[in-house]
Amino acid sequence: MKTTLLNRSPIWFNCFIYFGILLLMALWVPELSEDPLLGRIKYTIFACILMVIPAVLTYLFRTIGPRIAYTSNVLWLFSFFLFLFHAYLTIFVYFGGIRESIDGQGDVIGILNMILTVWWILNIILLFTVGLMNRGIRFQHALLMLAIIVAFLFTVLRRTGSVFSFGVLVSIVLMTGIIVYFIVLRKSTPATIPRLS
Amino acid sequence: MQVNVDKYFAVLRKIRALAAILIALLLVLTFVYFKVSQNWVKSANLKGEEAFLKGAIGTEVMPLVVLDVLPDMFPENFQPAGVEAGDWIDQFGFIRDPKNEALPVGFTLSNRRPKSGAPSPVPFVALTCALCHSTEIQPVGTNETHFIIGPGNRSLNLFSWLDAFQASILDEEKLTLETLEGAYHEKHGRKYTLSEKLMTRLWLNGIRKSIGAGLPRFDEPFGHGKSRDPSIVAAGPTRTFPFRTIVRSALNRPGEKMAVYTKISTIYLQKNRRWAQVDGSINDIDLRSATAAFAAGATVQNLKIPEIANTVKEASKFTETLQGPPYAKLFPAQAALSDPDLVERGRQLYMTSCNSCHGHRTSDGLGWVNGARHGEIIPLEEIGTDPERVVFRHYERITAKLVELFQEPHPFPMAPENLRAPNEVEKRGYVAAPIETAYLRAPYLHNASVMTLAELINLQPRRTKFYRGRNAYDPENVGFISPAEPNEFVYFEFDTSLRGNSNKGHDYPWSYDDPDRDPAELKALLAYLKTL
Repeated sequence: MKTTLLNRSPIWFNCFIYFGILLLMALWVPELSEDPLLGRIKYTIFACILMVIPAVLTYLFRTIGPRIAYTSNVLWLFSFFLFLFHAYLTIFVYFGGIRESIDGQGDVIGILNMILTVWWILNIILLFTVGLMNRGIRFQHALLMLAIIVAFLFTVLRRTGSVFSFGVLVSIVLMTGIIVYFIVLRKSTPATIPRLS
Repeated sequence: MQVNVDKYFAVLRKIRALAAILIALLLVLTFVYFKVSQNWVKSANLKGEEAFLKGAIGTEVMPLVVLDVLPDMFPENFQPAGVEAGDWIDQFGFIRDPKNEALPVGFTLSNRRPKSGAPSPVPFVALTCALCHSTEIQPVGTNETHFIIGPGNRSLNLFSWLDAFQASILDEEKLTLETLEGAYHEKHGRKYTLSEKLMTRLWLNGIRKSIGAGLPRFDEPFGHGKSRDPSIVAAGPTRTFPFRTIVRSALNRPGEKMAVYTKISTIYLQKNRRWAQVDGSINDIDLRSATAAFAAGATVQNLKIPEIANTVKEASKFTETLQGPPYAKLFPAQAALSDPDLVERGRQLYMTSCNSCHGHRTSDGLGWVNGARHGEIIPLEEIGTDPERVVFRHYERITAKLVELFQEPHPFPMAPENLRAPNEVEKRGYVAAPIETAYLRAPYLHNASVMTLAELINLQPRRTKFYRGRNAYDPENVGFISPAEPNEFVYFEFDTSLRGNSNKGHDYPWSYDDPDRDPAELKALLAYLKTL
């Protein structure tokens, strides 16, 4: 089994360092701004997306080998942690509760965000327990990645300035990854995808 | 060669492990910092009068260690009448607090940063409701002063002080962290602590950037002894530019050409009012207070902070039942001379000429009965007073913007049903409202353009020019006395011919040139008004 030979700790270390840098920046950069709380809410979701992008790209290229596949999962897990920070600050600190959060964001967006949060939690549980061996689970995993990216791009591409530019950059990186995937890797044999646990 | 590569990877692994440990440590320290910083803000949970007098309402201005030395560093800005004419508290009409030498009434300390309300390890100076809504009354010919909560501050020239303050902030040569620290060291024999240094630098950079960003729209502040000049800052004592601030902060427009000078209101018995503000535009007392705090520098964000929101609500609640002292208590000698028959004749005239708009005090002296037109907007055409307050550009847009900015779940949600601002100019005007404790509402009209009640009811001709500042009080004519020439304390020339300063209109019961005008009846009315 390839997975038994996989040295997992460097992957965890690398991803943790990347996660830590993103989180520290997301928490400290807004400290000097006019509204640190709102800044942290924005920056944690940007940090989350900066973690989601490599998670998605490595997921696309998971067929290269178990190391890439496993890295994708770990990046995905840390993306989820960043999302939890964002969700906590938004729901409990900014709005002051789940009901207030739904009211504050408007019913449609509020409920969609809640669904996305619950879905991501279930997805992480599946990653730890079942892994991505099952085709149906892989499908929902890809669908969740797509939903998160669409939700993010839907939000930022309607804005202007640096936020819009960030959205464009994310789109370009993802599109490039997808194009490379279709040209080079789509027909290669999938490698075994190890579970997170 | 193989050995070298192994060594190289071993070093990399060590670096990676160290980086991971360092990041873990930084994350732990970050969370400890956030936890500790929450404790910097001492939850005051102020109630009633204390919330009104001492509660910070999101209007933090500068670190205490800066205020302590800034006026000394810039006497040319903060002492426009000269050093010998007193300190900044005297010269801009603040009220000296006998319990606190350093800070005047209406200044308090808050461990929150300006605008964001984020915790600060060092105290900032913040403004409270009492800054504007409390005053001193000095009866003419005496040196005694009575401190009274509720009326607009007779002498406060807040926007001139802000001009002096901003001029000082923008002086990048004279004002640096080092010069501030040097001045503080000279005064107190110690340097700034690390926290004070950090917060002062952070604050100075932020406020300089903020004022600097507005310069292309608002131009530079004057300072240099000019801040109290009416041609420079036209509001003057007892008045502010509340809507210029809102136009700037909410609509991002200059608001430069607006002559919307508004008297700082007297806030007695707010429970009696259905619609607040002089144009009757807000029907909820908490929203009224939040708007006032917003105009004074609070932000949509910091008004959400539970402690600040609570202070605003508590202070509002305090004003619901706040009453001023009766005329007889402040001026017992004059009240003793009052003729009951004259007062009764005055009451009768009041009931026919004033009651429908202003209502009247109940016979037991404890309650208030609102008039039939209470809460109605009296159109400009009918009332005839200065129109600027309700015809300025963006007038109707402000309401929509406030609704947009203060939405649920904000603690002060501005629902459209709580606000009214007619689009049609002909429907705009000033609200018919109660006038409890009328004698303490001087100067009169919404733009403070009439100095006494005797002039307001046209018993005496209205002065077209007078001087404002620390005016003495005239209990006989019920209002303020103006010296013939300005002096260091009563310095602001109020010219009623200027835009926004008109003292015309509100000619009840008769205009001054009305052939039916009966001075004897007006004397009776004045005697009755003293009893309100």
